[in-house]
Parts: sequence; structure tokens; C-alpha cells
Amino acid sequence: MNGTEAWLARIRGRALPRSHNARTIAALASNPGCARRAIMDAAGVDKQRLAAHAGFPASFGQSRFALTRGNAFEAQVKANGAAELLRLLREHLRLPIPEASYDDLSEVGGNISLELRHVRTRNMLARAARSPNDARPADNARLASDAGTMFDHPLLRLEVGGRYAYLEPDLIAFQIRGQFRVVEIKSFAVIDGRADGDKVAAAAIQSAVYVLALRDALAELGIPPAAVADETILVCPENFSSRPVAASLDVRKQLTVLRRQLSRLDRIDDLLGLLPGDLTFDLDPDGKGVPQRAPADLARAIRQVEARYAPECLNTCEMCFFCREEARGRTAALGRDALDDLGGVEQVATVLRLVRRALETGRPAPGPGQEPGQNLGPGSDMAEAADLLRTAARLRAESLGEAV
Amino acid sequence: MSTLTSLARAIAQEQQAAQPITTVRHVHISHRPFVFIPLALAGEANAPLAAMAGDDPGAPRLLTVPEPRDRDQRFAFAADLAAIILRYIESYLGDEETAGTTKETRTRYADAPQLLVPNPAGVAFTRLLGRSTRFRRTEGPYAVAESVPVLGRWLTFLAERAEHPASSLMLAVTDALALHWATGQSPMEDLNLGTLLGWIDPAPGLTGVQAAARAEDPVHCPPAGPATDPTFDNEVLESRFLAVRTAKATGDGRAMQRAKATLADALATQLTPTWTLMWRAVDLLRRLPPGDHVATRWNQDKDAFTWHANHLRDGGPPQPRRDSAVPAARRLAGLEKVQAEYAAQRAFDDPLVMAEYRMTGEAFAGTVTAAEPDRVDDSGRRRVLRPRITVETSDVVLAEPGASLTSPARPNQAARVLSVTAAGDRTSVVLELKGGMGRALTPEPGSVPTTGEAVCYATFTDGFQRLPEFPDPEDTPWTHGGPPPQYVPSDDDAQEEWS
Amino acid sequence: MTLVGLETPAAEPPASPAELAEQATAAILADLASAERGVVVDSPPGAGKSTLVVRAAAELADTGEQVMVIAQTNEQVDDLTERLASTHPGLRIGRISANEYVPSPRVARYGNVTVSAKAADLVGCPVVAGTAHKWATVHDASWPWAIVDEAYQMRSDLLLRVAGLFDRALFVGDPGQLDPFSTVQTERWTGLTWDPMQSAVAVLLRHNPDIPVRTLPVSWRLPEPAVDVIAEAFYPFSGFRAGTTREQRRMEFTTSSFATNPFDEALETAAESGWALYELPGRHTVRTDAEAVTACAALAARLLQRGAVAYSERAVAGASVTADRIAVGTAHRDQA
Repeated sequence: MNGTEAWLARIRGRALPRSHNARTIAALASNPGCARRAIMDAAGVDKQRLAAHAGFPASFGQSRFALTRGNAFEAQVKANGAAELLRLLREHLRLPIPEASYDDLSEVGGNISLELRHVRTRNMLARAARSPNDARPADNARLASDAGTMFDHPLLRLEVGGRYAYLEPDLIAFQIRGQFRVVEIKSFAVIDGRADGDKVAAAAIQSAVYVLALRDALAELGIPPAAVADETILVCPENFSSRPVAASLDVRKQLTVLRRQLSRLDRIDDLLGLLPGDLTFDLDPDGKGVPQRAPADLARAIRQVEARYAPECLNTCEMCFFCREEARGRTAALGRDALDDLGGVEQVATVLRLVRRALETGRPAPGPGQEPGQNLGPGSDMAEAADLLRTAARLRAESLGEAV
Repeated sequence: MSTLTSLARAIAQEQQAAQPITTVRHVHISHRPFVFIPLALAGEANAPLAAMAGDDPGAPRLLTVPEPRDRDQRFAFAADLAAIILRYIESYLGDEETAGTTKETRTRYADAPQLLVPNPAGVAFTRLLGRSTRFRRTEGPYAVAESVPVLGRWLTFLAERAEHPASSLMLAVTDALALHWATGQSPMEDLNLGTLLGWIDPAPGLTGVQAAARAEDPVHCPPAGPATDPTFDNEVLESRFLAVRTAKATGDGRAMQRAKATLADALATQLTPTWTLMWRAVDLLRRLPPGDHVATRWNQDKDAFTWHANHLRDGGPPQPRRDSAVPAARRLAGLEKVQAEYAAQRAFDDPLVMAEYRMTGEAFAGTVTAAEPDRVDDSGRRRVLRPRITVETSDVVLAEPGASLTSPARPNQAARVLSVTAAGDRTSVVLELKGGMGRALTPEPGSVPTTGEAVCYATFTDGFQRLPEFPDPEDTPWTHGGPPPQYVPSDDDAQEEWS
Repeated sequence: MTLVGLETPAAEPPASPAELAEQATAAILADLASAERGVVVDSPPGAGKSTLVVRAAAELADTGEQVMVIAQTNEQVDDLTERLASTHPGLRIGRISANEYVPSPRVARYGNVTVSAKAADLVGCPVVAGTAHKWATVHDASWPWAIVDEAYQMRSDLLLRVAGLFDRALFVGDPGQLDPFSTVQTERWTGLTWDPMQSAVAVLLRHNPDIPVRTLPVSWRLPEPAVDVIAEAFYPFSGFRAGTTREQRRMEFTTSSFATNPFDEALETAAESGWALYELPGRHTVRTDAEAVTACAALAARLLQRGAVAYSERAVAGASVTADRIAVGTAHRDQA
């Protein structure tokens, strides 16, 4: 364990580490400026538990009905060596596959480290990629030329913020003629050829994470990125039934976005350098595992790591209520565009002070002293913001026939 | 959002109470709306779990599905819902009125139904419920009650109207409220009916922030659906479902009755708070005075309602599964036209909405400083009345000479910009007026703004826009796949799985 | 340096940018001759899109085929009309327009251009150009060929309104442009092949996957150092190269820089590498940020002060940079 790992382990404390998955990486990539999330995810902190203990439980629970349905659908598609999936690939995507082998890579005997499992996955993938039909003994040359290989639950890893995050996706890497395709099975419905846009977008970005990770794994063995297709395959129930249907997703755009966002992520080492050496999110469990740490003390520790809250966090991050409370009074908490709309002024109180002073004197307010981090010199941007806000306030008051 | 709305949000945050962002109401609120709160089973595409519905705040009807994965029970739910909703809709198929111009009149129903759901997800659920029921057959294999496909077609019609920005036939109440009030939370959080109402109308003794925080706790304020609270699913619902299944397996009639009743009780606890919130929202909206164009738009809704009722009566086919190329393009053009008209109408009805356009320079308001009301232009073949006025404003003016402007006070009069002169922070605009002044060479009294009058001019009008022309569907060009096959409802549609 | 005595018959010399561009254009024109339905041409900025449109129109007209040219704005139609009229003085060109259109002088001065609001008035013209919106009002007429310019700016529903007028078409456009826009937000048609909110090209290709898609491979507008940046950001899937080299396009200053002048550093960087980013202190501002405006103006002024000389393939000996040769771009109209 190197210095960074030891440091992260200390931050996590005695709790078991949580591993990244495509969803957490996608969420991280959607808000790359949030150091709090980056540190917590890197350290494998159980954010849900942490937020709850600090007094801000998030409602990220999942209904057992949804879980049951999701699992049943996945099992149905993968049953009998993924026979159903094979049929879909043939019929919907017109892939000429006479047969395909199916390997579940999660079935590794004994207690093997993530790293070893990853190495095994990588070797299996490499063998399949290099000589398409060596992964399975090809007893029939005619079939072999077009036979496919499916790897279920490959253990992948991706470099996030300068260190590797292991991914254990519920995905199938389907390989035919030397090229892999990522297959994702989701239980949201495709109705009359259309599905919920947000869900498809989320699935696409997750698939892109897997494509990247697969390419990384193969790149280490000198296999070029083209060995993994830009098109992924999404399998969903059709209409109101539980019959699966497959669709191709072109994730080139998502790959571009993801690569850019991942490269923007600060390096975990750099972020750690800004933190006090004794920082820990350990909950101080007693003998029965019941946390003894004072919530206020934990909250103080959390606040040591800077967050970048936006209302969108409410959909993606377990820390959202904690951060929202912290961000109360900031214009960014009022909506995606509120900060821009309000001339870039960061605090609601400053907005209203500027408005009132401007209305009282009929002139823009002089350089305010309270807005942190703002240029206070003459001709600063605050004068312009004050102008904009004064116009807005004047129009609002005039139209309502009242004072602000 | 805009600077004005964001400013209102900032004020709301500071005052801990929602702030108005309109001076009038821009949606129609029926004197007898129908409130529909559906709940869906988690993880399924469109499995009804329960609903609370009705047009009487004091008498909600609770519908439940004891085994939501059972196809027959789903159709029984649809039939029960149809009995309530269709009776409500049919109550509007009586009184008629005459509409249209003096040259061309038509008859339409004098009023129309209005369906209110809590949020946009409620609209989506309704659309899917319409989709899953409208193709069903009432005879042959998998026959359903006669009312089920009729319900499906009405729900589809209403959900499609909900896409029209100007229609009030079906409203998501969170949208309707957020159109009129800015809260101290984000637009995303405004999708939660409970917190939104907490900001707008907190319980006595609570600030908006406190009321909103309380409403976020699913124990105090269960979600307004269609998604249920996962904790409720796991800790309450699952065991009640089990009791129903057990009673069924053992064939114990009394146990089954008990199990169904306790299940219904549990679901009622999740629905009743939202039912109360919905009617509180209706009250709040009703108290706002309606904008001038609200009645105009409701008349269009009545026309649409009449058209669909006649289509059903005359045996017309159900709405297709999806728009083919030409209907899709035509619908988009219609939506864009309505969107533009609706935006202009709201600005003309409401100075606070107009203020948004004054911020951006698309409109300005000021005072008339000079007027030549009797000015006649005799340069052309015919002498025509062309009064000129000078308006002074401190607003931004982006209009350039030659542009045609319209004033909300005189929408039938065109004002052409002759000159724009800025001096300090004030701008003078000289306008030449045309139309809306009577037929003589002197203007009718009040038809030309007088010196000292406060006026507002916009670069857009509230007039009707023309719809672009499209080919007939059978002439769909090769670029768009050629003519689509004629849609014929099939047995497959009717027997589609619903599980 | 000359190498003597080495024979490498197998390797042909690499084609010059001009040869590459010409090969691509020739291939496209050859495609047209054999096209069943048409050809799509992707063109990065300054890759000779207008030249291609003019050549294709003239060549099709030469073979006796009547051609309708569809552009998106009157400005674009006038541009094409002017170029066609000036390069092909013997070709009669129709300019179909709305009733209230006043012919711009650059179109009106050509004797071979006829302007009319009615298609019937223009039947004798082998090439007729107009905006898509104008063409959408034309009925009961048809053309064997259409050339659709700026096809990525065109929305699918507009193509639907005009596509009945032609049998085959050449679609030309810049795939790096923003997708068309609608005031309405709906997911109703998401995923449908004829989604009316998609670009004309997207819908066309989904229904006609066999239509060849060609790329004009060389940008003459962008200098070599800028191509990689632009190509990666906006053309990640096709890419293109610069028509000129670092040596051909460069800038030098006749006065030396001040170490203390912050603008000089940016200008030096730009002169060396083709582009530079002048970063203002990070802070949130209103969109029409006076500080940014001032910085743009100061950079331009400093560029003039420094007596910049620009070298290019058209001005091999260098041309001094005067105010009329500096363009300032903005992201939003109100910033201009």
C-alpha cells in the first residue's frame, strides 16, 4: 500500500471500502469540480451512511419491487448461456452468429484480490481479442470463423484522478471477429421504439465508461482501441411486457465527454495535499458497530473538503442534502442558471444588498466589501452586475406596483 | 430562467416565502376540475398500483390493485377508473355554444373537462396508461370492458393536450404553480408538489423553508406519485401484498377481504396528503385574477375537446402508436406556433411577464412626450391617417428604424419605428401608427396615445401565426422514408402483453 | 537536399493538400453522375464548400439537367448566385424569392440572373436558387436535381416540405455546426428516424443509409496549428487537415514586445502557434462582460501598434495587418 492508499484508507476509517461503479464514475464526471465527492469516492467511503450520521440522510433507497423486477429481467436475458441475448443480437442487430460461448468471469474460486481478478479478466479478453477463437477450443472450424464469445461480469479498472478504480459491471462483453461490444441490460421499458430520455442518456454514459475501461485493459496488452466498438448494445423490456428488445447506442459523444471530464479531474494526490493530515470520516464504531462519533464533529470533518453543490446533485449524490444545507444562501443553489442570471454574484444576500442600494441611490452600489473573492476595485464586474440587478429590480417593482 | 425570475428566487430565499412572478393567472382553472393522482408499482413500465380521483374535494375515490402484476386486475383498475373519469367527461357533452366568425359559425361544447395531475411524471403515466389501453378489443381473446379502450383514447387525447403550452385541458399542478410563483429552491426541487406548496402556502407558524423541509420527509408528506416512497414499498407494501397472496392461496374469503382492506388503508395514507395538496393548489390558483387571453385559449381547448368527442362518436380510429413523418412535422409546427402565440399573449396580459422582454430589449415602456394624432400622409395615391408619437423610455431599445412594433393596449395598431435617439440613460423613439383608429381621417377617441400616457411597445404581436404547409402523408418524400403504411389497429395491438 | 542513387519506385510522393482537395471534389462529382439518390458532403470550415456547390451546379447544368439550389438564408442564396453568375457568365440563373425581397446589388448587377417570386417565370433557367422557406411555397413543379447548401443547419421538417420538388440531391454542409433549434421541448419523437427536430442530413441518412457520405479533406481557412484543436473539438469523428503549412501562414511583428505588457505575451503566442488564449481572472460575470470587451479591444489595438505582418500563400512577401483584417468573434449576439 503506497502513501496515497494509506492516506485514503485513513480517511475512510474502519468501514469497508465501497467500490466505484459506472454510475459513480458517470456522476463524478458530471461534476468534475467537486473535491468532496472525488475524495470520498477515491477513499471508498459509504456516502449514504456518512450523510445519514451527519444528520442529512439522502433518499436514495431502492424499492425491492424494482430490484426484483430488474434482477428477474437480467436473469431471463442471461439464462441458458444467454440464449435470449444471442437471439436478440441475431434478430435485431442482424449479427450473423451461429453460436457463442458464455463465460461468467465472476465465478472465481477462493478469496482472490480485485487485482488478480482483473488480471484474469484481462488475460481472457486479450486471448479472445488476439485470436478470436482461441478463447474456446474450436472443435469445428466452420463455426469458429463466426463464433462469438461472451464474457459476463468482467472485472475492469479505470484510472480516475490518478489512481485505479475497479469496476465490477453487470455487463457482457460480447466479442465477435476480433471486436468487442459492450452489452448493457436495463429494466426500463422501450415503448413503441422510444424510452425515457434521461434513462437512455444515463445508460449511454455508463456504457461509455465500460468501453473506456475495456479499451484500457486491452491497451495494456498492446491491443488497439478499435478492438472495442463505439456502438454498444442496450437490452430493455419491450412495451409493457417483459420480452427483451435490443438497440444499438452510438456512444462516441459520451466517450469524448467522459475522456475530457476524467482528464479534468484533479489528481487525488493534489487534493489530498490540501487536506489536514488527521482528517478522517471514521464513524468510531463501538463493539457492536454502532457509530459513536458526534455528528457535529463528523460534519466539521466533511466541511474540510470543499464541495461544489448544484441542484443536479440531488439526483446523483448521497451527500446532496448535507451540501445543499451548506450552500443555502448561494445563488448557485437556486438553479443551474441562477448564478449567471444574477450577474455572477455568488451570495443571495449580496444580490439583494446591491439591488437595494442601487434603488435607494439610483446608482449602482459602490464596491461591496462582503462578497468573498470578488474584485473590489473601481470598474470591477460588480458594477455591471449591480446595473443588471438594478434594472431587473426596477422592472419588477414597477410591474408589481410595489417596492422590492 | 431569466434574470427577473432568478431575482424573484433570490428574494424568496431571503424572505423565506415564495414570490409572485406574474400579476395574473395564465392557466384556466375549471370550476369543477378532476383531480387524478396515480401511483405505480416500482420497476414496471406502467403498472397501476392505486389512484385517488374525483371532482369533489370532499369525496375522493380510492382505487387499488391488490396484485399489480396480474393482467386482469390491471384491466379491472382501468375499468373502475373509466367509470369515474368517463362519467365526468360525459357530463360536458351536453350544453353547446356557437363560435366562429359571423361568416362561418360552428357549434362546440360550452365547457370542457379539466384533468389535474400532481406533476409532469403524472402526465407521463397518464399517457402510458392511455397507450396501454386504447388498442384493446372488447370481444374475442383478452376482451376488456367496453369502457377501457374509450378511457385509453381520452387519456391519450388529454396527455397530448398537456404537451400544448397553451392548453389547460390537462395540467401538471407543479408546472401551473411554478408558472406563477418563484420559490427559494431550484426549479428541479419545484417538481416536488409538497415542497413547492410549502414555499407558496406554508402551514400557519411555519416559514416557507421550514414547510418545504417538512414536506421533504416522506413520513409527513408521501411523494405525490406516480413513484412511491421506497421505504413504504419495503416496509409496508410488501407485507400487505404477501397477505393478499396468502389469502388467495388459502382460499380464505374473510382473510382476503381483510388483506385487501389493510392494503387499501396503507395506500390511502400515501394518497390522501397529496389529495389535500392538490385542492389547496387549485384554491391558490383560483384566487389569482385570470389574464385576458385565458378565455381565448380555453375556447381553443373547447374546440379541441369537441373535435375529439365528435371523432369518437363518429367511430374514428384510435390515435396511432406514434406520429409518422408528416404528422410529426405538422405537430411540431403547430406546437411552435402555439408556443410563440402563448408567450406573446402572456406578455400582453401581464406587465411582469412583459418586463422579461424589456430586460432583453425586445420591448420597452415609457411615456409619450409628443403626439401628432391627426397627421395625414398624402404622399401616396390616397390620403391616409398616420399619426406620429414620441416615446421616451429608460429601457433598453434594440428595435431599429423600420421595425414594426405592437402595444398591448392597442394590439390592432402597428407602430413603425422612424427613429431611435439615445441621450444619457434615456431613449426617444418616434413611432408612426397605422390601423385601429377607425375609417375616417381623424382617429377615433382613445385610439392614439396622448402626451403623458404610459405606453409599452413590443417587437412581437399576440396575433395568430400561419401554419406552414406540409405534403400529404401519402406524398411523404424519399428523404423521409416515403409514404408510411396506413395504420390499421391489429390483433397484436389488442392482445399486447401488459405485465 | 537531393538524394542521388536511391530508387524507390514503389512509394509515390504524397499528394499535396491541393491535390487531395481536387481528388475529393472530382470523386464527389463522379459520384453525382452515378448517384441513385444523391450524395452527402461534409465540409469543415473553409474547405471549398461554395466552390463545390458552384461547380456541381454548373456541371449538372452542362449535362442538360435542371438544378434547384436550396440554401437556408437570403444571404447564402445571394452569395451562391453571385458566385455562379460571375464564374459562369453564359449560364442563365434564376433567383426565386419572396415578394418583398429586394434584390441585392451584388446579384442584380449580373445580366444572367433573373429574379422572380414565381417558379413559372424561371422555367428557362438551368439553375434556380432560393431559400428553403421560399421553395416550400412552390408547388406543381419538379427538378431532376437539387443542391442543398448548409444542410446541417436545415431542420428535417423543412426538408420534408421541399423534398417533393426533386428526384436526386447533393447535400453539402458543415457537420461541426450546432444542431438545429426548436422553441419547443419535447421528447415525443426522440429515436424516430424522421424526428422533425433533427438535422436534414441525419434524417436523410437514416432513411437512405446507402447514400455515400464524402468529406472535403482540406481546410484553407484554418492555419495548420489550429486544425488539430478545432478538428478534435468539433469534428472528432471525421477530422481534416490544413491546406497551408506553418511556414506559409505566419505572423511577425515589426516592433518588439514589452515584457510588462500582458497582451504582448498572448500576441507572441498566437504568432508562434496560430492561436492563443488570453485568460481573464476567473470570476462570474454578466454575459456582456465589459472586462472581456475591453480586453478584446486592447488586444486588437496592440496588434495594430505592434505593426504585425501576416504571411500567407496569397501574400508570400507579407502584408501588414490593418484594422480591416482583424475579426472579433463572440459566442452570443448581444456580446457583439
